[in-house]
Amino acid sequence: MEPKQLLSATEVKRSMQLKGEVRGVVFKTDFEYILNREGKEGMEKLEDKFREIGRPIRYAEINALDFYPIGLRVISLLAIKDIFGFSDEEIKKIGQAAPKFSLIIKLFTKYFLSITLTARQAPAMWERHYRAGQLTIVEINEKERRIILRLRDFNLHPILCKYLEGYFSTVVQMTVGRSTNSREIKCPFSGGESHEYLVTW
Amino acid sequence: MGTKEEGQLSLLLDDLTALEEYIHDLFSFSPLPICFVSPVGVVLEVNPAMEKVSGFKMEEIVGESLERVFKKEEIGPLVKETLGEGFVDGKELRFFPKTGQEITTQVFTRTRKDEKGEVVGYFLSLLDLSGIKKTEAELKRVQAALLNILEDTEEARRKAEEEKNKTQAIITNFTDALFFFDRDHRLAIINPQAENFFKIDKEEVTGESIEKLHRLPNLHSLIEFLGEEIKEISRKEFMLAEDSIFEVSVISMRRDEADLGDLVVLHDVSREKMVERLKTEFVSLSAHQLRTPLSAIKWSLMMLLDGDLGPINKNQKDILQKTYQSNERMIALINDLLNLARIEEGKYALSLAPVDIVNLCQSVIDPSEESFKNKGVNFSFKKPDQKAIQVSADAEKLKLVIQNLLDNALKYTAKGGRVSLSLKVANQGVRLEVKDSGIGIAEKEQKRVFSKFFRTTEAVLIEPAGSGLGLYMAKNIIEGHGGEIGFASKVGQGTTFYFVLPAQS
Repeated sequence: MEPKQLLSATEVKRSMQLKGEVRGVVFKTDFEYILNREGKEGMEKLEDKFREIGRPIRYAEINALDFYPIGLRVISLLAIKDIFGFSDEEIKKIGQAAPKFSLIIKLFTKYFLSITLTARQAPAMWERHYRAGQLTIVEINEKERRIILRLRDFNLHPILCKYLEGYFSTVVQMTVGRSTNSREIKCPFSGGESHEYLVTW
Repeated sequence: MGTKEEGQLSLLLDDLTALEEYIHDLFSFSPLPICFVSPVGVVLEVNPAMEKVSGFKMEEIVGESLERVFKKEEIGPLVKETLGEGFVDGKELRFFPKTGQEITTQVFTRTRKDEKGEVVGYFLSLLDLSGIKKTEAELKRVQAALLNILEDTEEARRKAEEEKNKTQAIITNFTDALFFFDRDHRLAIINPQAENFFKIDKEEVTGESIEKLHRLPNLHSLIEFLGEEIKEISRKEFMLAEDSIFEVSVISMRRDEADLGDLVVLHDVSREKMVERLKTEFVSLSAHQLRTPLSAIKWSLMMLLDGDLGPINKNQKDILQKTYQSNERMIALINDLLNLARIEEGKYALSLAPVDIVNLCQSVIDPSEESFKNKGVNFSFKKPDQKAIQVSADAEKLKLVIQNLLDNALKYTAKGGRVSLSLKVANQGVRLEVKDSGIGIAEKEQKRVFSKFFRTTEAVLIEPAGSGLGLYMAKNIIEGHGGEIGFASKVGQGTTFYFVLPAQS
């Protein structure tokens, strides 16, 4: 039996109605991941999917610093999940890989001197990516090696919860130079006020 | 935001994107593995060359500590130096890619600073030295091998030098004069004795061709003697001056079939020759002085025996007969000694003329046949097919030789034995053989048969009166004719003496 397609026309329509914008870099990192994992053929499949839903995005034409409708962020991940049958863990891996490819993160690496300094820049880093939601730091405990990040007003789609779990985990890893674990401890899609992510190392 | 500002922002964005692409392309293009590392040692970015050399994909290595690919104890000081000095300009470090196989690298770093001048990380690049190290190891191996070869060569050179010095010392201190001509007949070595004998300076003659040496007055006679071909000779006498006589030997030097040249050895025999000459002169003088009274005694005895001085009885005759025979032997001995003296003085000059050797033999045989008959020894003359064989010889001297050989055969062949004289034309001349079935010559004595005054032990027992000069003279006469004399003998079975005279030219 064919798995249920997440990216229905309704979903596309719903997504495109979401308010906010996102920078092209997120699509670039998605495409980079697919290119590495599925090769050129996989990347073309993803491009075809965008064309199919009437939002043609081609890897070669993505401008990392341009702003795109935020709904495409959701559509991109749902399309990937649909086309390649990825699990939630695989979506988390896309999130984990993203900061490593991200041009915007490269611009922030100068702050990766300590977790405190990086955390201080976290809201700015978020704003450079998204014109939606606010990212704040709830807690930093260097001694116990953990940080809690809070993301408000960013209820686009649950698929992003897993993606961001991976994303925050890597940013912290790039700062502390150790392997990390991340977990969403609060989520609006399961009754929380906002998203909260606990990252430990 | 106004349209104008938006337009400017869009332009800036395009420029930024283009710049980012340019940097990305440049970073990707670099064949040198490069990574950007945070001040705390976390890899934040790698280029494709770094991915390739490390074996890690970007997503595998970014976010990892440098200690993932370097030894902590090696990278620590390098990071410290980088952050302190701002750069490290090539330091050798061990790099451990994903395979775990150690690679020797040269690491370069340079810090990156923000607008406030604070260090925000550093670039680190690697130079893979494994190829160089491999080459270096190979070079070291080759160097070691070359050094070994060099040592061996040096050892061989030292030994050769030692040998050369030894040889040089031998040559220098050798009592004989030595000349060594290389295979091109150029004088390569000359020792001090040769310089002294020939009154020449080695600096002036070494390296000179034999033709040039031939033109030098002091060496002219020697080169004339040796011939420009320098053929092998053995103990040939060379007279440099009246009082300077040498025995010359030429030895062809070879090594593994390769012709190295010719060694000419001149042994100074001047003193021996002088002593010999004095001795010969003494013998000659003594013999002459003895022969006159012996001849007088002979004639007196003959007169007594013939009864010219009155009748003698039988006893007296017997005693006089024995005295006469003893006197005859004495005269024969004196004659031999005189002949010997002449030979040694070089006065035994040969008067060569065409001679029919068949006829000559017959003339010797005829008066001897009676003696063979009297002793009861069977004698035969095996004549050649040719009626006459002409040789160039001194007939009288040759007669002496043949007579001597026949006398010996008769003396040492017992009654009932056989003696034959045969003549035949051989390849290189005429061969005469006198074969007997006599006592033979012991092997240990054979070498000395042609020596002056030598007589074998057995011969002395049979015939005590012999002088031991016959064969010595025979050898001198035959060799004086350019011929060759020799013999084959077996004790108790007999002896065959032969000589070969060269064909008449």
